[in-house]
Amino acid sequence: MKKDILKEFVSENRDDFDDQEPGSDVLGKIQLKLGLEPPVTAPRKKTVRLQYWWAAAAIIVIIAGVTVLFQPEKTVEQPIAKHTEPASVTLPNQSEKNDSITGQPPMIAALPDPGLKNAVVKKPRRPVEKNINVPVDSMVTTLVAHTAAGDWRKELQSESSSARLAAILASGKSNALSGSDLQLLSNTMNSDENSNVRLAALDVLKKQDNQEAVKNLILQAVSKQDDPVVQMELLASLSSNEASNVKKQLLEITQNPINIDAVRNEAYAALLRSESNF
Amino acid sequence: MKKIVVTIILAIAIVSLTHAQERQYKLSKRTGTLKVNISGVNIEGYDGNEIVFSAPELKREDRDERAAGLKLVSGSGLTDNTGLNLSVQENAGVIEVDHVGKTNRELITIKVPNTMTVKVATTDVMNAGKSVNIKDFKGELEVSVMYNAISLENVTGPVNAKTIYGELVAKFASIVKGPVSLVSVYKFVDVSIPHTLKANVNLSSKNGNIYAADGLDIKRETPKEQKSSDGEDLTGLKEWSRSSDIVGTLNGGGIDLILKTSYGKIYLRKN
Repeated sequence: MKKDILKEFVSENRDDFDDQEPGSDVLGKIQLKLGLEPPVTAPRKKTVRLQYWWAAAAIIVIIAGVTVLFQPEKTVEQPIAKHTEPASVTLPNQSEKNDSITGQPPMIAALPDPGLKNAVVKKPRRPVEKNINVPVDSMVTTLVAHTAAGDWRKELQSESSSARLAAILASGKSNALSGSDLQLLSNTMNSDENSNVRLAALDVLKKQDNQEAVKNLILQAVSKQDDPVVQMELLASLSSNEASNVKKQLLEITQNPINIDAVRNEAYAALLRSESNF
Repeated sequence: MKKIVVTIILAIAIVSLTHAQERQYKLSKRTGTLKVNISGVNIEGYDGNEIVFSAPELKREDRDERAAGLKLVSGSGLTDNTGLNLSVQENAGVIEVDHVGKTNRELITIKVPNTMTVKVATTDVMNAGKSVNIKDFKGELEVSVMYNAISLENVTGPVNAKTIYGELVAKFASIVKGPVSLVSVYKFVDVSIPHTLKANVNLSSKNGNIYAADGLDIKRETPKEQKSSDGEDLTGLKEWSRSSDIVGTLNGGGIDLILKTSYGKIYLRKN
């Protein structure tokens, strides 16, 4: 195939190659020596090939034309006029928050901004900050001080789920957790909007389980918890005695059709551990 | 002959490419949160100043001549203000993105400035086959879905991601910011991290195995004393406290890396 094309190319462009004429008998001599006939060009084929090339060229031109025609961008640019909050309040906080996220690599340094938290109320159960009226710069300094002291409680109010997760993990590393801290963790576990944060809170609570208070919080959570991922972890962590204490709640979980299978399986497993007839 | 065939194929390809012009909607925004309430979506991070929503051009059979000049409305109270069957609203620094009407067959692609925070949250069961794909994003990420797979590529974190029935694949960039928490219930969690990453790891797979790449230097913390099981364990069900969790440090400890699955496996690779 390839060889043919080359030959054809040469024969097609024979005129261009024939700029120098050999002596009239040279070819005859050579042919005599080799006993070969020179390749014969098929004139019909030549015209066909030419048409294909023209067709290809035409297609490319058409494509180019179509591309140019359809080029104008169909972008719509309209402002979204849906500001429900006065810009003067939210914008400084907003930019401040994001700068801190991008500027400082460790997440713990990305400070929560209680002003912002107040602007977007997502977690109504949390007490609304009292110091909204404090100027932003003084807030920042106090927050920096808090973080330096490792105060995870403040960060737990953050709008950013990663900041809250970091706060929970930080609380797990601090040694002394008071009763109110445990309550805070338990609240987070039961009602944070993010499953990952809830899971981390459960992990921290489980590590403290020498305390009687924690046991109660965990048992209470059995009926309160509504996140399947956390429910599974929670149910899996129940010991036989704990499971016996919450038999009724466990039964309810197994019978609630809204719960996913995995959760109900964990509840059954907990019931089986509880050494009771159910 | 070959050449002709190739030319024709190329021509068709180019024609179809030019035909599939994207529809776009742009919104100037550098900071704040982008909250995407769509089950299947492609998100790409870039260094820019505007959010760019784009969808492939409608196919001929999907075009609706009768709807020309009319506006898409729905009972949800949302209106299509983008021309892409999407409602984009700004509310106190949070940009909410929702579908209006029936979801598109093709995934919407959103280019987001790296300086923003991205949240994807949905529990929609009707689009279970679609996945949330996030690429090259350097900001904070939160993904919370139920039926969809999550795929993160070349992201830096911090990341909070959860799916219940979907797979979770994450490939991190060379710099990782913590905390990172990736949770799947029924499917695997497959994570690639830079081999030099310093992290406090917490890997747990209740009913699956955990696989890690050779050369990942995970130092296990000494587990605290096992809870004493009370009485004989005839059912085997009391072995609940014996978990396969791995809690420890990687390269001496650093950011928090939490990987969890209940019924799937965990794969920890190094880039």
